[in-house]
Amino acid sequence: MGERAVVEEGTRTEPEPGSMAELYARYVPGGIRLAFLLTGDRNRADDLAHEAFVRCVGRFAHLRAHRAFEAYLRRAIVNLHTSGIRHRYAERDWLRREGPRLARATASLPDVAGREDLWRALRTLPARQRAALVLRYYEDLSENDTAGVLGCSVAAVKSLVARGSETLRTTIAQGEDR
Amino acid sequence: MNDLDRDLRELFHDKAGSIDAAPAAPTDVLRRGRRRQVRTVFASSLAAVAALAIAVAVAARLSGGPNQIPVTNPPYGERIATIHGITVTAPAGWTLIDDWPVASLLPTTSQTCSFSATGSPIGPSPAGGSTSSEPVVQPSSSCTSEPMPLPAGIPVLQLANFGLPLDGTVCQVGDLRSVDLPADGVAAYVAAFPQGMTTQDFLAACPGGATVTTFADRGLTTSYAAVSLIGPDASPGDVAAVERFMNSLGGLRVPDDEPATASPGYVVAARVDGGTTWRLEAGFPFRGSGSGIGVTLVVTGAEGHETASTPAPTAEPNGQPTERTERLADGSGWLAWGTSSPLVSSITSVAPDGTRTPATLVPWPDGMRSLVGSDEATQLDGSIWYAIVTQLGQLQVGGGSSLAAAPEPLAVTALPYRVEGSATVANGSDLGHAWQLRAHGHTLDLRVDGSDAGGFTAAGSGRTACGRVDVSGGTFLLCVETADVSYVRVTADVSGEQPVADGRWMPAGDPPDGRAWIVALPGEGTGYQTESGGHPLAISWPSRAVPQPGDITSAGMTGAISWAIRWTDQACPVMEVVFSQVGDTGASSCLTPWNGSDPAVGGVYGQREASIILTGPEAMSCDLRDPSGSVPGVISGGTVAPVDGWTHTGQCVFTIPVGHTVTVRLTDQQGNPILGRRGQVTITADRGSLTLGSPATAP
Repeated sequence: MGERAVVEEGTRTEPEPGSMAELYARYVPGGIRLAFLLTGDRNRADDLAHEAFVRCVGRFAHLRAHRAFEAYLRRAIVNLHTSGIRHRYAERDWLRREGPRLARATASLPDVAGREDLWRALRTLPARQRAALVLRYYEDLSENDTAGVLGCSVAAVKSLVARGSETLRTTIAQGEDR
Repeated sequence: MNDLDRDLRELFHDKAGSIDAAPAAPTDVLRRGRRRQVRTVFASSLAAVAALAIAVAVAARLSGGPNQIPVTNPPYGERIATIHGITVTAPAGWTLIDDWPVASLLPTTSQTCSFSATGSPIGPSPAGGSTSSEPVVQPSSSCTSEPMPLPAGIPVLQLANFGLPLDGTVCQVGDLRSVDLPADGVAAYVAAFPQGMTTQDFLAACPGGATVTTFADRGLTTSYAAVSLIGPDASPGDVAAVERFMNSLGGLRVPDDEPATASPGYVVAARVDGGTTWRLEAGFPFRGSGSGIGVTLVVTGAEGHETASTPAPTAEPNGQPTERTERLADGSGWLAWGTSSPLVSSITSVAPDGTRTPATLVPWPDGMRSLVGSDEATQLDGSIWYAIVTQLGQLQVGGGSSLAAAPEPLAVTALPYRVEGSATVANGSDLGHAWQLRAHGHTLDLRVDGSDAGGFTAAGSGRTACGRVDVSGGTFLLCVETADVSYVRVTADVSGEQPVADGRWMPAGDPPDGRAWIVALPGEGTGYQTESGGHPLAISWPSRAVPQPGDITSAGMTGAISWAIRWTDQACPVMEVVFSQVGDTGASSCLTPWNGSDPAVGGVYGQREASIILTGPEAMSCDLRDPSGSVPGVISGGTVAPVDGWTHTGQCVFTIPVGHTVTVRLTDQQGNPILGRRGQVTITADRGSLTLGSPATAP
């Protein structure tokens, strides 16, 4: 027998204020959208947001400000997305083989003709660069707040955004050349 | 706002708006959340009790009594630190302890639960392959939670004109060691009170308390209070210093942040340089690892938000000083810092232009000695060092002869370079060619004999990358590394005893973003590239369009292993594990190329762990999960070898400890599952073999 749905079909039940279900309803849909922008994959976004939510509610009794939940959830999602060293080594591995053959392209982005090109280019960015762009341009966080979420300095945020933007321009320019 | 900024904003909002996320929480997510809440309460209580009990027990064993450990005054100069938004000036010779991480250790509530549990055995669930090792519990209706009485609150910081042990407080806080106030002592103790406070109880918990000042966080959700403690024989100057600090707290609003570090620490140095508010904390940041002794840099950003560095241990394994760097906020230079062994008596940073900057060396705090065993106490005989430099350079150490005998690279050399715009440029002559290396951020270009020879941009690749440029007579290995990499070398043997060539470096661009390295590799060969702090990485040169037997076609490493794909004389590639932290090195049998339908698994199945390579379509993605939900390190992407039959074969590499099972989900470039209808497989590592949980081809 399957799980009983929290909200049964045809019945609209408002979650109890302050309950875990209410926290979910209030914050997790936005968290899934954020995670989708970070991962580009809806299933991974669901997994990421749900794991972050579970971790945050696990610590909820220790939070000193319940209204800070959204910020903690955002930070958890970004940290889960960018955590681990696999990115670095995956890149290192790839570049060992491909590095010498990579062409350098320094042309600036003439025009962003297709959003899908931009979306695809975003998917090639390292996790932290992509996260910095999403936090700055989607969440509209300041550089200070972005640094707080990413756990780095403001200078590092500036660098991540600059590098990410440069890579996007380069990638799209290369695509147009082809 | 430029075009790209605007396009990104529109794209993000369009894409986010296309996601229809239901507000109803899935049942399994709520269940996991409840389980995590119960587990957190128990785990944090146990961790705090265990940590405190161990600290107190060790101290008691060494000293014979919890309050009898003499701790000398720290020999540190004046420190100006901002801890959790509270700016404090510690006069020379005073103790300043950042206790705020105790907030993550000290339980603030006690919870009692009684519940009955039902569950299912570990194994695949019929619904979709997920596993569960935890019973389903319904704890909410049968748990009671009560605030723990903490009349002295949760410590945030302590300032004292006398020595304090790291696990001691001048007030009575739970099971922490209570330290008596000397007759000539003065101290200030700051604490958080999540459940409110009363001045009467606070003073009662802080014997010798004179005045109390209260303040709050910015959200006005947590009360904070500070108490000054003044001994009867305290000097007027010391009393005035404490009173100045107390007066500075009135009306303060501190950030509502979690602690940036994981454990309390002595503030051994703290200043503001180049717009960066920084402090070095000595303590036990490596909890559960060796002695745990280490030092951490904490930078306070705008509005009091803190960022902690990766801690540095007491010295590198080869006895050399550890080195970390932090760019100053105004771009005027760098804070270089680290630790050094007892054999080092002086450290000088020598910039590429010859500028010499002597570092300040300070000892480890005496108060840490009571918390380590006698065999570990010698680690505290070394130093913590720091220097403000305008350019990152090479460290020169002064010390005893034993240190000079420690192994070190043959010729780590800083290249003479010039600045052209925002690029750095160096010239040299190797392998019979005149070369010019130009670094512009993460772009490296090499000109050989006046012509463009190649280069690469580490764009989209994070902070580090290497590439090779083949010339007649050898190969130039070019790398962009972070500034803390102090050497790059290639050796013929994996143990690093037969050097082939050492790298030379210059700052990567102006302002520098790491270091650009060049290594001249003569002729043809295979070997291992090592850099400070890293594992050996297999390498062969020159690059060949068609690999020859013995050539390395790709290589990589995780935190656990270094692996390589080597082409064999059987016209097939094998996976070699050239380094393993648990010693399980070796080579696989021939790998299986992607046949369009079935991914394959191969690797080195050791006695302690299995190093596994999955082969499938090019650009496949591997998603790994262990039963606890965490994702082990995995490398995916790229092709195995540039040879027909292999050019469209992708790979994923990861390790599994023997006895563990992971669930692997493989998807192609379009996100489609490529492991049949269920799209996933379970892999269990046994001693010398694997057990697969769903169809796959096992060579």
